[in-house]
Amino acid sequence: MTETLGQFEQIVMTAIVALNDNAYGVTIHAKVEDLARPRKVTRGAVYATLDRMEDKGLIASWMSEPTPERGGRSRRHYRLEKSGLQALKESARTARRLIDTIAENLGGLGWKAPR
Amino acid sequence: MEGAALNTPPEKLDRIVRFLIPPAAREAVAGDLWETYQGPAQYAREAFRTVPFVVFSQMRRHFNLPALILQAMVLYACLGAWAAGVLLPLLMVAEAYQPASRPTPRRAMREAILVAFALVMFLQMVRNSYHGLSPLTVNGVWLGIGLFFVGPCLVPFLCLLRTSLIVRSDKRPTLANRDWTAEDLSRNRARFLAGLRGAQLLEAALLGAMALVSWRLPGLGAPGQMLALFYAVAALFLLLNAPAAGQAGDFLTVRAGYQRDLMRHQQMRRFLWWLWCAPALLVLHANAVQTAGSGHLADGVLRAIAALMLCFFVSALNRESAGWTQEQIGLLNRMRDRLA
Repeated sequence: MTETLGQFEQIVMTAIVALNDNAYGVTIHAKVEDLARPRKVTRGAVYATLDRMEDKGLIASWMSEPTPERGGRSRRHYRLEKSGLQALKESARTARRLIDTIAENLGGLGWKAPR
Repeated sequence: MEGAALNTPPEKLDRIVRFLIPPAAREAVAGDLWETYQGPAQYAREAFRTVPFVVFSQMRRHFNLPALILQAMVLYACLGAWAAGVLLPLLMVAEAYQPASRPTPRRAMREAILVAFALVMFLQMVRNSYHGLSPLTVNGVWLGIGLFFVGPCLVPFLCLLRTSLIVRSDKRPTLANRDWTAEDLSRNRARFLAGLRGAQLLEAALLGAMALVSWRLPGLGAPGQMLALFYAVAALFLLLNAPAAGQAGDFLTVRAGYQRDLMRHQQMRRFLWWLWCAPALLVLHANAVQTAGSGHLADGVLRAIAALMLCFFVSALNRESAGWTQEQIGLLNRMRDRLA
């Protein structure tokens, strides 16, 4: 059975998908802030969500080589696992149904689907 | 050069921040904070906002409800409700700050000496308060002589105990190679899981037997029956949750699964070790209170020391094992796919 994702988890996973090979703490946080506008998101909340999703087996992580611009520390990179991708697709399908239903019912009132 | 120096956090501030971040997340989180450094105030503010989340996340990751209930039960039975209420949250925070590697031999020895020193102080305190209450009696003389010999013997004994645990951990196989293929990793994981399965089934049988023994253990009363229940539930859990063969996949998937297996195994072991020693702790504590209450203070004190040493042994065992697990997870993190 596919895991059900919370809204914040969906945002974080979408950020990982969008960033592809460059998904690590700093970039994921920046992308999440962009996706969650106008909501402010702390980096700590992103870390906590990443840890939780990793424990569920939805994402996997690994450490890169240390780099000097980080004071000789490694980055923890993330990517979606198969179960994570399935869960995200399922969430996207649900979101699509919601948008279609809202557009169907409110379309006549001048409502436009968000872009 | 000067510009680069200006764009790095002040050393003291960085050291404080690194100290506050739990070791399991330290490298990645401290690196991210360093990378986005704009000034000391921004750095401190960002760290202040980030660290609590990281600490809570690590507490959740290491949260082990059965082990916590067991520790609460033993603390409550031995030290009372207040001590259990104060010590349990501290234990939970300490779990979040679990080191990312095994303690060095020097550090382990230092801790053993410190514990021995604390025990000797405890003995002296008991002896002094005893003499303060009543004049030197025959029992008091024996107590004095006993304590005089027990104190100096504790240090080498605890050091020896700790050394044996270090040697045991040194002999455990580690994931030495850095470059493996997904198949190599899968094979290694399958071997690990097969070994685990056998050991788990054997332990389930032993726990079942212990459930029967604890139920009938004299002098424990209600805590003994609670323990028997714990043993029975743990045996059933081990039987029903024998690890299955790991799923196949690419290198990253196998590695992530392997890391989860290692972590789960460590969580389970931590609970089981406390479970195995719980009856001994409860019996020693009950006897210590009983004998001290009936005037045989020396016997009571020696039993209390035995209980404390048992606690030291189990925590040291857990530290070695948790350190080994974290080391393996770290090695897996840095492992590269040979074919990639």
